[in-house]
Amino acid sequence: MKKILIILLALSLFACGRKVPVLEHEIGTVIYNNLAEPETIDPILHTGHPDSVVVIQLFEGLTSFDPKTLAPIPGAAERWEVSQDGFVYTFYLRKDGKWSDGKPVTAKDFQYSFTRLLDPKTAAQYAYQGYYIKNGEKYNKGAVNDPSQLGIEVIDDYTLRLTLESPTPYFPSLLYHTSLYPVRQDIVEKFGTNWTRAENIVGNGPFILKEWTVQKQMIMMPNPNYWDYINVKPKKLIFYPIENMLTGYKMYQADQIMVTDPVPLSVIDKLIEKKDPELTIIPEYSSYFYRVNTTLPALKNKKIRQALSLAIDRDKIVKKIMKAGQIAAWTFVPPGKEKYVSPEPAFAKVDIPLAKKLLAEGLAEEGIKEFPETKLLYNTLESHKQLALAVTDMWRENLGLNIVPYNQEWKVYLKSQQNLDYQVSRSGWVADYLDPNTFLDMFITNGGNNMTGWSNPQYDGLIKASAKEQDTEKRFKLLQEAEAVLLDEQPVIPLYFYVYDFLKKPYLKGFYGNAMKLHNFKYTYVDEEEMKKYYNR
Amino acid sequence: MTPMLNLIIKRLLQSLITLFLIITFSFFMMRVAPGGPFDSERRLPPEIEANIKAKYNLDQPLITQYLNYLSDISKGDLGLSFRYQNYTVNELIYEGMKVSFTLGSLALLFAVLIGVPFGILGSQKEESILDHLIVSTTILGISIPNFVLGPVLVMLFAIIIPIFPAGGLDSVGSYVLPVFTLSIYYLSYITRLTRIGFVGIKRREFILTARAKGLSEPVIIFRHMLRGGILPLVSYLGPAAAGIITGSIVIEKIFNVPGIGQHFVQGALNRDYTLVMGVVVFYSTLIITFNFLIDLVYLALDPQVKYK
Repeated sequence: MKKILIILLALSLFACGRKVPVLEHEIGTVIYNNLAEPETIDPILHTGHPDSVVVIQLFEGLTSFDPKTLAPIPGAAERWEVSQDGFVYTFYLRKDGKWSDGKPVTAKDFQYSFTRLLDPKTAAQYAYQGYYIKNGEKYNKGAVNDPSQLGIEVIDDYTLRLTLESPTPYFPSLLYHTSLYPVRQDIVEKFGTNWTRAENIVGNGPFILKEWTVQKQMIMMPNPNYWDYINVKPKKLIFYPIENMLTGYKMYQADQIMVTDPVPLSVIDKLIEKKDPELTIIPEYSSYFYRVNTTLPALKNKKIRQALSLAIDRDKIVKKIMKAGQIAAWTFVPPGKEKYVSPEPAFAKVDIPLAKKLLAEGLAEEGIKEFPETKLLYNTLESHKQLALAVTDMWRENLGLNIVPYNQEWKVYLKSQQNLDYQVSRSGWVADYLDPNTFLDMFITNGGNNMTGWSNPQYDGLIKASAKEQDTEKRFKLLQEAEAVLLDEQPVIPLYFYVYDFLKKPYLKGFYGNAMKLHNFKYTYVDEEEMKKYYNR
Repeated sequence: MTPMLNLIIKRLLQSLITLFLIITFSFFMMRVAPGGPFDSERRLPPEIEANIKAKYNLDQPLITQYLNYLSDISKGDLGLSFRYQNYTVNELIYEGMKVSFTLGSLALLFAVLIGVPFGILGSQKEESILDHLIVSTTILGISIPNFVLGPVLVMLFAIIIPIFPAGGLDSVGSYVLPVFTLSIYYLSYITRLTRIGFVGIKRREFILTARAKGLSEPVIIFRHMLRGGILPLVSYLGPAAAGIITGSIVIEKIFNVPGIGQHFVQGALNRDYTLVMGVVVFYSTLIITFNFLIDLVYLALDPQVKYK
């Protein structure tokens, strides 16, 4: 043992003159872990979160977002107007808006981009983000073939008018979804699928792509043609695609990156306990829940579903299993949207006698003597497994039900869920935009993401009415009523709300966590003084 | 035709048939697995899904897709990746291969350079303390899984004593930990194989003769024993070279190395049909080629092996 210590000591002496990896880069460089290799950085074809984060640096939509609150702020459009009836939006583009090659950003660019998104031949997965535009859905589905029928009108170079299918009060927030960022027709047509390569790409965002080495790194530089260039703070931006969270954590510890998330489950509780100043945990706008297949003999009974929900101790789940500060959920829409408050749920704590009573009543109503053999599906992942084991234990102990958890690999699991080939299934939903509607409109009858077989005319009516309501307060009231129906019926059993936990070096400023993990790095910078202090500890 | 040439032609034909079978089998296996490249948590409206399928020709009958694939592949075109839409599979494999190849060659070189001398040393001092030490260390080296060794090394030499980076491949220093982790298993195995080979040959008559003639020890080892003693190692090197270059998947994950192994695993999970097929074709070709080359080397080394 002594010998080992001596060797370690000798080695650490040798290491004293070590170089700090982040200091090897030019001062002012911001280094970020983007968590995975982007699938594509073509805004219109992008799908995953890592893609979005890159697109936000290289392009800019009509609107942008406040880095903390995610409220829509002017982007490529300086300002906009909404018609009285809420159907027509007029956007005034900024005159100093330029592409990275110096050409002006015009209303035509947006017309081309939105049309490209909706063109069936483009085959964009996020095409439905354009369905709010008049005839957008019909054009994408081939019912309308003439793109001039779309509600997109170029008034002049700097004025764009969009007509919507129905008044959509959160439309300005939708516009910063990265599938609605502009691309340049001449560049896309000239280079084909290669147009996103560093040597070809032209964008209108705060940064330009300098290097993209697959699975290794992306390097971005401030875009001198960007209208707000003087306020783009980093000198250079490096994104690493580190998928393995343990590797990400170690590279953070070894000072190779300045931000990483998520923090591995194995260390998070220790960091929370010692109140590590580099750790931030904030609520994320996403929900973790179990779907119930409501087409099955026993599970189609509302009381049985309520019984299953009532027997699950959410507090225990978040404190003993998840441990990263997740929020126990008895409602479905996560907190985080101002002015929207989920309804007071009828059940908001474990109630075993009531659960037992409901179960017995439910079984009697259905004329079933014994609860049928039931299984709980989850996609292969350690944390889902632990949670499934805990929940099935609670069902066994509290209700005497023997529900067995089983796992499937991701794509197999997706298919099972889509085909209603499950009984109870682990699920999650991450918001597409910051509005409760993104959580609630998925459970309308036959909605593509419903996947529970549940159908309720009252619920459908409320969701439909809310889509037409322009007054936010009234609209939220309708959505609240809809959520109350959902919670009473329990086709989904909410379990907890996700949190966004990340580690950030103290010298990195202007990097804000927000509920949708959207980051515009133009605000982020390295405080040199603090950086020196940090490394001279 | 010389027997040698005959053998080469025969082997080439065998290899082509093997490759064809592998391609066919993998192609249909991939398609049997539930879920497709464009399934995600956000379920797509059926019309959008149909548009995407049409764009990638996934709406055609499977047999047409298969024939198209065969025709493309015979021209060396592995297609566009389904997931990394801005890259062709050829590009992804080429970029990944450069990294995996460098890493693998360094690891193999390290393993041979250290393993062979220690193997010979062990065999010469058979049953000595040194020999026992070598044997027991190699057992340890073979049995420690690299997903344990890697993180331990990172903990020690990147965080507690920060000499090397914890991940990535952008400086000379960053190669040290992944190369070492990758090579340790092969290093141990090569040491043992060399030792066994040399122990076996030590007692053969021609070595006894050489000793009786009074030749010096280095001459005996390098002139007489090396050729025969190294044979077990040579037959191992083929699969080892293929394995070390292709089998660094775990290392790539632990050290965030942009190699080809990630494409294999992630590609299969993502149902990135073209990418997985591309990597399968590449791996198979590599393994078949290595085995073929080793057969040739074997022929040259051992006169007892006939052209069968």
